[in-house]
Amino acid sequence: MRYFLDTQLYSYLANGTIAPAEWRAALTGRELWLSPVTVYELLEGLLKANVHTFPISAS
Amino acid sequence: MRRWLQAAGGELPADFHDFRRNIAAGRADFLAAIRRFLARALPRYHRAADPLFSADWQKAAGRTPGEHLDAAFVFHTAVLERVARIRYNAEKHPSDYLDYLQLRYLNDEDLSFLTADRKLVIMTQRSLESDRIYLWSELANREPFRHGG
Repeated sequence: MRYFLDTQLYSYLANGTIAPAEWRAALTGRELWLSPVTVYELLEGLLKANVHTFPISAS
Repeated sequence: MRRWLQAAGGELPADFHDFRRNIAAGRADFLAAIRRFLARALPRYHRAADPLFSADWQKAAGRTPGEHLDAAFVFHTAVLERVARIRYNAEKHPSDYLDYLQLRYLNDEDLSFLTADRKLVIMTQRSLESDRIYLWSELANREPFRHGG
């Protein structure tokens, strides 16, 4: 069985809503698949990011 | 950062731009089907039987009677029901179409979907694929995963 994740979960991991330890505990040992729709949403999010919404731009 | 994004935008694979166009076109079709549904089925809504088994609703969702109750179809029907019942404005919820696309991957019986969206889980719980849709909070609170478990 392979698992694919709602894109929102990647956002939760990035913003700390889901702790890395919780992420690892839930997903270690599971085979993950990145859906094309999630790739689309992540790329779309990057393209729409700007200096006000994307914290790493300060570095 | 802005310059980096602009540069990345110019170097993205051409198929990503195609992908964006396809998503936009698909979303437009999705919303058009909802508008057609409103015009055709809404006047009879209060007399309709269970939406999942109503010919009107199946036609509105682009399905024919007898097709199995996959998660994408059940989700689409739930969106149509919200539109009819609570005047839900689907145009203000562009992620509905992306959720619908994600759920279509469940046609592959080797795939399971993890989400933090309790509403989506509820909207698809009558689907025959609902046993492969997991709520993150429930999965994360289980015992650690073991192979074969």
